[in-house]
Amino acid sequence: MRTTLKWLQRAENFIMGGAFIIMVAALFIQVVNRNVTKLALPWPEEVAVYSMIYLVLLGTEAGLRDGTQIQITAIVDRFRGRVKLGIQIVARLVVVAFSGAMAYASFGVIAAQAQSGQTSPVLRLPMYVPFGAFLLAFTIIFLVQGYALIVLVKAFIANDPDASVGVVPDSPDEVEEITAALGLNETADSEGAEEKR
Amino acid sequence: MSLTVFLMFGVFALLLIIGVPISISLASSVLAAIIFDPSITLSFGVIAQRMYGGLESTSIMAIPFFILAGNMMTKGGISRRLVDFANSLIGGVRGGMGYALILACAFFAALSGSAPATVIAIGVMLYNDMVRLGYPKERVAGLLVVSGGLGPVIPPSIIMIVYATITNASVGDMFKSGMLIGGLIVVVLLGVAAVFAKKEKWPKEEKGSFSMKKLGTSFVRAIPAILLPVIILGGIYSGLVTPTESAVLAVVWAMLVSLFIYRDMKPKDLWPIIIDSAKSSAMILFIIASSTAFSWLFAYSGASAALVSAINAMNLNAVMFAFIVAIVLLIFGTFLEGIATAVLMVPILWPVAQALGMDVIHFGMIVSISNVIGTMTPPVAVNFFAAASVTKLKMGQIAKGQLPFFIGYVAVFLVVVFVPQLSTLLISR
Repeated sequence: MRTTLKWLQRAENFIMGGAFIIMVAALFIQVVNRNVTKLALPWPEEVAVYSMIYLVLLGTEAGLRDGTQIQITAIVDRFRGRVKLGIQIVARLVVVAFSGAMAYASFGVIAAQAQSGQTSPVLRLPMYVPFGAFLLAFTIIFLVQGYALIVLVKAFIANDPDASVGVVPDSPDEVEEITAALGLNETADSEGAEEKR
Repeated sequence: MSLTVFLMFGVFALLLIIGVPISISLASSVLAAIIFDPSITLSFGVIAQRMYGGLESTSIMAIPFFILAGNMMTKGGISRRLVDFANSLIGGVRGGMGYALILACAFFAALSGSAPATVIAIGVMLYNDMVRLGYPKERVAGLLVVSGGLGPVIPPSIIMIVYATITNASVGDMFKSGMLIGGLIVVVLLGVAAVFAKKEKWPKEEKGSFSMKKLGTSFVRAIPAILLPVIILGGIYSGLVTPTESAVLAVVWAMLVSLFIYRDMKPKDLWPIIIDSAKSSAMILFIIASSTAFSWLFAYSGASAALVSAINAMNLNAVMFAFIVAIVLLIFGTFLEGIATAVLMVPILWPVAQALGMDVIHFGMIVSISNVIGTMTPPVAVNFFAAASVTKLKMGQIAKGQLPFFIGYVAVFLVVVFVPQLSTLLISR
């Protein structure tokens, strides 16, 4: 399962990163075109919007998986052991149920769009292409969060909260990330190295 | 109608308490209302369709672009140049680094639009040096928390874009108003810092005395960074680009500066920055999508219209209503994340404010600043968490150091609430 999750993360990152680059490129072309080349280019905006929809939906899946979605944990964190695990199971169950319902509903909407032959205004893309992001993302959320739920239930039965650790990797520490980017870790390290010498 | 509203708000609150992410809590409460309220005969598909509608917008696309530009600048060596410039501007006077911290936060705010990012980027650069020089650490941490609050007020501002998307206000006008009010907050914070510099005998850095040469050098080094807000605001106000397009230009400029001028970032660093920015953007935009479904059902159930009539029947004037809104938003902001508060409350409160004749920019500034104050008030206080992680101080210590600056910030907020003209001073109608 871990290998599957790793591959899933890579595929998602590829789509999210690709969508982001397409958004930047499309709107940059639009600005240059309107102010410099002045060609008739109606497509950049539509391409950028549809790319953003994929970015948001898959980014939400990634955020739910690595625990970086905003949530209030102050109350849950007051509990320990089985009580805490029980609350986490209920919370996870809500996410699974919601994503299942949304995957089912999105399938219905897509089927209706395919049947009616509805297309986008500029590119004439079938509307199930942008809307497909909902079906794709909510199906993945349903499966991944369902797996996380099973692990939590097993931890609850075994009364072992540690067994659930690692289902969702911890989010990276933002401070460490920024200090590293600013080169301050290197400074601290080199100072430490000099002291040792 | 009442059952719908009860289900929506009751389920939302319950899910928040048990730790369900805010975006899923919002959308699940809509789902619960559709399932359990017999008066609503809608399919689940309507939720997905409304969420799609919330995302199918060019104006909210400015949010991921500003997040990406901000992350590139943060990791591309911008904070160091801004701190050096701010330091050379006010070095040498008693408490000079305190003033430099406020100015550096203001400069950084003009690039990032995010409060916790401002706290971390500037805090990491200045906090340890200031403590080493003898500044009281609780006070520095407190100043950092409040100065970080300039992030969402000085443009570009993510919360202002969200607000403008919901109410159809002009992003350009919101930014103009933000510049004025942000400037006012800077002046007030500098004033409070001056009082405490004298009272608590903050150190005077001998080495940091003012010199034109130092100022000139640091200014030249900071020019590429300072040009970013010029590109953003100049582009919008000249009419050459829309706010979303200006955000794209900001991304391209930030990438060029970080890679080729400052050279603190390498091409291989770009991909992780893009992925991180994509995740942060998805988090905010999915909350917006969920709240679109939430506020749509609120209006569909008739609750929105009933609320407008009820408040109209109270015969409140616009200023009194503005004050009540401020209190409500501050209470919500204490428990909820800022964007979530705005996307949840603005669609409900704005029709009432409009009916009472409130100016859309004035209302927007109340929303934006109350949002920032929420980042400084526990339990959900991202600025506090950011400052605590930089300074390693306890929340109580930071709260104590923060108080005088926080009071100054709230005083400006009250002036904004009670003097509508302040928000619209720079706007030509």
